[in-house]
Amino acid sequence: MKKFKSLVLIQIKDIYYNAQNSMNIRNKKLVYILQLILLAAIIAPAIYFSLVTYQAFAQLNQPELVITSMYVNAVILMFFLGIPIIVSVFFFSKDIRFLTALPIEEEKIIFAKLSTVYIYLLAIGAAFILPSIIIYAIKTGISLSLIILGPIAFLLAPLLPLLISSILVLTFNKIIRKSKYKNLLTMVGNMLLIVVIIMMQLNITQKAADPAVIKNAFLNNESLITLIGLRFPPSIWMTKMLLGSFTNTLYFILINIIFVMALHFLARYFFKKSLLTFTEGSRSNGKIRYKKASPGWQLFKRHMLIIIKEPTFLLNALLSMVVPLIIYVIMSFSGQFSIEILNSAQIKPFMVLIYSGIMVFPAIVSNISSTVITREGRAFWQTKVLPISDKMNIKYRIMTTLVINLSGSLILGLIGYILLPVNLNMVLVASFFTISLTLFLANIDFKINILRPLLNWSHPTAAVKNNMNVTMTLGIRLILGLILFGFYKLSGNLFNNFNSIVYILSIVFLILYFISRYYLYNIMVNRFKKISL
Amino acid sequence: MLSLKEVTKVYENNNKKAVNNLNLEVNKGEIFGFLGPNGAGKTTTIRMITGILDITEGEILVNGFNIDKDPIKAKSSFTLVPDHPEIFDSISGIEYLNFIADMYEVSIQDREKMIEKYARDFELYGDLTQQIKSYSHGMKQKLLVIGALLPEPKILILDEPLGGLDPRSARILKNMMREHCKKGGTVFFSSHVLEVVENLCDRVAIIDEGELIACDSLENLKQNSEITLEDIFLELTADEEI
Repeated sequence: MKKFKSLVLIQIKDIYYNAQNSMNIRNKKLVYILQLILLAAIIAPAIYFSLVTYQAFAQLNQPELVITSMYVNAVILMFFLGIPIIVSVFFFSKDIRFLTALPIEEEKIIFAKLSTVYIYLLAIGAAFILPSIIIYAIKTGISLSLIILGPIAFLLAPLLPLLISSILVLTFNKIIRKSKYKNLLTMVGNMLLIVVIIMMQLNITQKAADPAVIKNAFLNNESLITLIGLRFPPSIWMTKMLLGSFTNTLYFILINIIFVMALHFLARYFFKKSLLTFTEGSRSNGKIRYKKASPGWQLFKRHMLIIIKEPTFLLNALLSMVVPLIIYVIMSFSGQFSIEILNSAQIKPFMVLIYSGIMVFPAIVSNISSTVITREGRAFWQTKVLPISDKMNIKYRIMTTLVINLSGSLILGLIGYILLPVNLNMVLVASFFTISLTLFLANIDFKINILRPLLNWSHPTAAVKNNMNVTMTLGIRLILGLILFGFYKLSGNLFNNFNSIVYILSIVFLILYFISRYYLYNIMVNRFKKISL
Repeated sequence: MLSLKEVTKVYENNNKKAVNNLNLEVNKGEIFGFLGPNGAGKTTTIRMITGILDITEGEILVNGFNIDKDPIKAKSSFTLVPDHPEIFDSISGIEYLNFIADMYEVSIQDREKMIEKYARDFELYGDLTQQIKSYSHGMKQKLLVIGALLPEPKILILDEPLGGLDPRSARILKNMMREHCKKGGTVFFSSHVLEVVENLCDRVAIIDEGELIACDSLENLKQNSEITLEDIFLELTADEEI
């Protein structure tokens, strides 16, 4: 047990210190303040939402449903966020081989890794479930069952989503482990898994939204809890457990035990055959080819391959492209959205804005330029000793971002052109806007990476996700969005149509791009030179 | 061929003087050994020579070109084998070598001839199509050495090159270093293996706490034929009697 405890502790410490180091801020106090701000930014809306939900259910004389409702929401979020974390912790972590060599049972290694995911999910639960339990306790009075069972419910909450997700992910990866394209399949498969879970949830929500079901629910108190709990049935047991039902406490704890045992059984089965093969490099029997290419092409290829060959980087780069498509597919399947809505007379005048928004989406959500130096990690020394200029070194890094983002824009633009009622003029205006904003943002994001290169990371996730650079790029986009909204509000009837607004903004961003480009290649380049390991 | 003039490096984060007023001259065609205890400033010096680190004061000329003012010409004159084989490892060995060959503009014929020769010598030829990720530490080190020899640089700079190599590969590398110098090239390398330095080098420099404490030919350093380089090294770098 002592070994297991140490293993869990070291994993948690590793995650915590990596997250702290990724902020790249020397002042410890500032790190804590930022962490508190981040925590407040997550918890404050959850508290507000819990309060509103409580009031709604209190009017129906069933205030305890605030816990059921928030628990269900948290569980869905845990499913959604749990899958990429499980994939990253199990399949793309670099410590599996090291851990295997330790004198500790294999299933304990799996459980130690799961406990790190559990901590992540518990933090999500803390933001959603805890406020609902506390608000319920304050408003209705604290009972003994709530004091004893409340913390148990909170601590057990992440277990079910964690265990179900793990079993799904491990089973799926067991099937594809022999494939040559196991990394790509892992990503695509797990993204599909997320889509399936969301679609299932939407399907159930739709069923729950059936007027007959709702009417029945309001007539019958039991049905209302079933209606909410339909999306995740154990939530019903959990709510009733907090109300003091012994049978439901038994059910809830029993199902958690069953899942833990199932995972325990599977852990041994998965470990060597599945997880270890994922840490192996691929072995090719291909021929040796001597190909000549220009240094520029080689640099571009290098930065592209760094993204393509590292699953975490690829997922990070591609997710931004596919998010609008995933949203569209899900909403179409669930019947919440149809193309007819966009063809309506009220929407038509805004079409150029909608189409521009779709095309520019990859540039806005993508932050790959802010981690292009970081992604190279400790191999950064190599381009520094090559006989190439610093400007050239910078140019092809930015070009990688431009090619990826503009390819995404092109795909989304083509799909949009097929599906939406847009004309050629709108396409040209939106394309101009996309190109100028993509160029500008790629330059600005790259400057952030020059200022905060962060080359010493131990896990790719730390390079592209647990990285303050990414947060900073989001901040820039938020400020930019507010400025654009202000511009739109202030312009009023100044322009005849939205085409003119988008056109003017494109010119503004193009000018800003040239200014930032000058600054990058003439001033920031000196800072780039100073980057060292 | 390589000239360091009053070179100083102060790390901004801790204000530590890692290298202090270092002067060195490495001549064409010689094998120059760079010695020092751990943390003496060897790697920092090599990083400044190769442009990975900024120089705080002084200047470094590589093949007559200032690494700070004329970096491309200076960098075209040397290749580096670092102390840790940290390279982008998701590509295959041959992809890496093609990358290096393109960067130093090595023709197809030359690269084919040299990759085959060096890879066979280092017994890596059969593994070139495999992902670098699957290589052992020693294999990565060999790949870096092949990549460094490929452009036939004027100066070959190696930081602790023998660390991960097996005895056979270490012997091959030593022979290649000699061969490189015979062809008019220069080798600058740091090592802890004093025996190797003693057998291989024309001249050695010993650095301690960022300062040069000795730089001469082995014969002159020894003065008395009874003592070894190890005795000299320990005597010069020891704070207390061992």
